[in-house]
Amino acid sequence: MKYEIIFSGIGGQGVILAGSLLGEAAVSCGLRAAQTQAYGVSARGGFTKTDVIISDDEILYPYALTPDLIIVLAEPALLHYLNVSNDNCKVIYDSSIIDASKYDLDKRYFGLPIVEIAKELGSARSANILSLGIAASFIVDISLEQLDNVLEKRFRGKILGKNIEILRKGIELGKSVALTR
Amino acid sequence: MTGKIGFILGNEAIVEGALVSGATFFAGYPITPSSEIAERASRRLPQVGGYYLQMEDEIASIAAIIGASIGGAKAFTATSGPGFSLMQENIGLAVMAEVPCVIINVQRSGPSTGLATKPAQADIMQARWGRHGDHSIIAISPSTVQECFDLIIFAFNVAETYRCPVLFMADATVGHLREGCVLRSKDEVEIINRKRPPEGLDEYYPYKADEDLVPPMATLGGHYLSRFHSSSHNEKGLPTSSPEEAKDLIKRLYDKIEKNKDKIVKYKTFDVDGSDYLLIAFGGAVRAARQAALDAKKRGLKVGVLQLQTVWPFPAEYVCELAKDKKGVVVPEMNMGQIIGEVRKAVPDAIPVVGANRYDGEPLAPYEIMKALDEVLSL
Repeated sequence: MKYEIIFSGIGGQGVILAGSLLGEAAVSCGLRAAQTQAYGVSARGGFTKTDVIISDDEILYPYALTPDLIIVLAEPALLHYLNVSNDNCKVIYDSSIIDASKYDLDKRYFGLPIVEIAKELGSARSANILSLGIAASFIVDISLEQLDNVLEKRFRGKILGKNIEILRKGIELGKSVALTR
Repeated sequence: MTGKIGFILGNEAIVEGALVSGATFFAGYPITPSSEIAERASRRLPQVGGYYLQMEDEIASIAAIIGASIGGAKAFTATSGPGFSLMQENIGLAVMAEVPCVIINVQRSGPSTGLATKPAQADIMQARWGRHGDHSIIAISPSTVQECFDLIIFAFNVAETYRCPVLFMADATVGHLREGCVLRSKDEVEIINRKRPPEGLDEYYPYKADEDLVPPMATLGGHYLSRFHSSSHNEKGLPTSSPEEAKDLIKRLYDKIEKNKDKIVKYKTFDVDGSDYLLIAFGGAVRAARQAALDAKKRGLKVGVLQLQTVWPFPAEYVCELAKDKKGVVVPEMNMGQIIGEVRKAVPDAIPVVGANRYDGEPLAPYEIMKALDEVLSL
């Protein structure tokens, strides 16, 4: 069992946090995980991504070579992943902020209004947690309980409650995409 | 934190390992991609009764940790390329005055400020020769988050054992990597503290070495009069221009590391027995090398990997022993080819040695090593 997942966007969207929470939940479930990150010199803006490798075996190379899932939260990141080599990869981009009509995308690409949905649920900034839920739905070995645990370690009060709700919505959305495989 | 598994950054594991080693003093000037070390040290050291000092620059940082060590503390600093350059003069002071301390360099792409957030392994020759003057140096390089924890403890141990600065040459691929890491407790690891002079001596000579070539180190301000000198000095720690004394000192500083190489050199091998080809790597490049070896196996090739956990002193004799019956050697590095020179010096001339290099700020990938392997196969 091995999954290669990429969260991408621009600096400030919390994509690296989403990756580290997914990795932490995987390790809590007794799996192995490696999470790498790449970002530019500015604190906000600019292409940012994190690769999360989850496996039941030792992880040698910690970067995604044949990603199974790529979540794209900003256009500069989509440009980065227009030519994905893996035929079975799913690329889910945020259709509420990216106008994808100018790109010739094949059936591996799915648009979901990620920021819009997070906003409707009361926290536009939690688009990364919605993405976390989408990604987690692809990995059957990660339990909802451990995902909740990592959120509880990271957030407090009202935002924790919102994020727990948004996580569940993400899992639901992810499953609907998976069904279209 | 006993035996707890954390999903943490390599940089964070370095701090936790340093604390287990008994480090109580950090002075630094945060710089990407090492900043999480300063960040965590600033939070964790006060919790264990230690000190975190935010300095005005890297020259002050290295000076402060040398001072803290002379005062009796286990001390460390962390930086990246630009700061490492600034620290060189005082690292030389720590070599000459025999002050144990650990300097962490989370390498990034250079020269100068280069690509500030991107990885490289291009300071590895600077680690060896960044100071002026004849001397040996110890440099250790981790390839996993667990090794960040385990090898920083080893780094403190060798610094204390041999009374010398130790360079911990991580890189951005490992410092900014999160993985599961077992955070061992003090009772689960070997911790070595510097040798102290025995009590009741009529006179203590701060640079009179024992048989292991290492002089016991008294704490400044303690019972004995102690001297720490950057100029050529005699056993009493007084300046000297005697050619004999100067030569003896330089020779001893060199020999205390080179003659104890068997205890300082740490390495790991993967499938080297019966292999036809050998990959020799250190730090972050090891991960790509091991994946490449596995990919090569699927092609029916027998490829072993030698991981140099200790890069300096370079284990030339061992590299020669391991490589002498191989059909070829590939040296993957995130630089234009630095350690490959040492490998070429070590292995017999008849064996082809090819580099797999990347120096654009992106991590070295397994397929690039495979390409170099194909080049060896075609020779």
